[in-house]
Amino acid sequence: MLFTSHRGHGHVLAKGSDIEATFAEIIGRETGQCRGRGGSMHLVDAAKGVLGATGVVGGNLSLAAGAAWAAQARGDKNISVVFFGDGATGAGAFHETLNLAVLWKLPVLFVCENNGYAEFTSREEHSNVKFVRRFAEPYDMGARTIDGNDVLEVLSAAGEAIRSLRAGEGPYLLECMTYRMAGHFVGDAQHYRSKEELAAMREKDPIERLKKHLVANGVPAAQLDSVGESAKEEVLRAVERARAARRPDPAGVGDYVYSAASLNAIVG
Amino acid sequence: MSQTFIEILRRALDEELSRDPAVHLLGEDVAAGGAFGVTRGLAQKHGEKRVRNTPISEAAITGLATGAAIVGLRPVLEIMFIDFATLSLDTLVNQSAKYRYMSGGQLSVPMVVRTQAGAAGGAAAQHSQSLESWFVHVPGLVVVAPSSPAEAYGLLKSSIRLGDPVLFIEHKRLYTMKEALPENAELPPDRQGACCPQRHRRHADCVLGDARQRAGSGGSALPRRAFPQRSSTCARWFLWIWRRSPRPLPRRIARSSPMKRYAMVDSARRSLRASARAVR
Repeated sequence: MLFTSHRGHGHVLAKGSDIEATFAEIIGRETGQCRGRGGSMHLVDAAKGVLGATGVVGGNLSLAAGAAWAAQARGDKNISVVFFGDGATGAGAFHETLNLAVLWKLPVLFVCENNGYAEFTSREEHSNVKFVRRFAEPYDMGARTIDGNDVLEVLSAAGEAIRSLRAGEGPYLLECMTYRMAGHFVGDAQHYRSKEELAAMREKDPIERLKKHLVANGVPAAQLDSVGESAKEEVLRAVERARAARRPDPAGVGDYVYSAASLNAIVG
Repeated sequence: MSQTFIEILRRALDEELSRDPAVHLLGEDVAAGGAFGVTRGLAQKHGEKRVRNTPISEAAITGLATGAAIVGLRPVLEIMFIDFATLSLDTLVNQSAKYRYMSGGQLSVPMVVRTQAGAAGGAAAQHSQSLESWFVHVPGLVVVAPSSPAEAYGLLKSSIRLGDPVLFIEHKRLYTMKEALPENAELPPDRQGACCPQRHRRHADCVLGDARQRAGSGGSALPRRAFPQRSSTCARWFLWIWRRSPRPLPRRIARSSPMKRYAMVDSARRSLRASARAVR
């Protein structure tokens, strides 16, 4: 069960959500997963286990714990995975949730994408704690810091963490060190960081690194390039179709706010 | 046999816990009976997994209930005093109340947040407020405030079965009010989800309450009727749904409201009326 943040488009696609429906939702079209009502920051694809994204930083850490609690209560083997950034560690709810998750041994994997920035503010300014894994220590929660830009390391560490969750060993915090390649929002002029810093980040791009690794291990570069090309085409096609889709009818602005039972029964 | 408001709430919770395995209670001290004893004995009867104590973490426990509700549990969360709901607000307003809408109807939040409000005297500034009027302005939230034990019985059961996030606001001064539930007190299947009689439906978005403030004057003066029949002379509870936003309060309701017939002694009533005017 996936919960993510305002920067979660990649997570949603990785979980198997349809790319055209995702774009359509981002640009508010009726053909989006949420019928254009969620938008970029609130992608939900229940059928694929994408249970939501929050625009309030740190706002759904406790929801992920709740979904894990439900799984535990029912005795099924589902786990929750929630993505958040280093900025979310400033929220009280983050600390409350860690405590509760450990106390109740909830199967929730907390994945921190530590990119060193909370909106426009660098880590040094927003937290005295350099590595987010340290927040797990007082609660005796398992935690680890890894290179979040190394695809293979992430795969291996996540696999181990998930195995331990499914074995009922309690929650885990996986801190993935990475970089935020763009600004906080589209149009962010990023006056708060230097061009040199941005250039250095580009050197560490995870996809480029994985490509180099595969080529070094015998995969023909041309094959990788064609994978990239076809992915690009797929995306452009999806964007085109999403753009052509209709917007929701304004008359339906009140739909989905309440259930039919609420509307019919409570007042009547 | 007359039972108190508290005993009847406990009975409703007990019956719902027995009826539906998805119902779970959580909150500070709930397994120990709760600050007012509403949940006394329920952990012993239904097990510590179904009735759970939580740390003093309103934000996290509201989120816990919300996340569980999203995937099919029916949590009934207790927030000890409505004054502490301020700590739950982000989750309640920005997550619970918005999930159905944000997901385009894919997900819903069938949860109840039970709390209590009102000035009983002596509890001081941070334990005596009536913040109901804040919550009625939150799209997606259903706000329920029963004014008698029989109403509370029906409304709590309906709220648990409803399928939307309900803030169920009890009143301190009503906790000792006694009433006998009728023999057919169990909700009939065709009324599940129904909290109010049909005749109020044409009053659009709200049914205004009255009897809550009479708790201060020593109990109710109007005759009690068994659920689901209601007296035709006045509505007995605050029930707001913010259906479309923004939408002014129909003048017809404000003019004919029972509030005009009674002294405005309860601050909840005052603030509700003021905010209703502002909306218009």
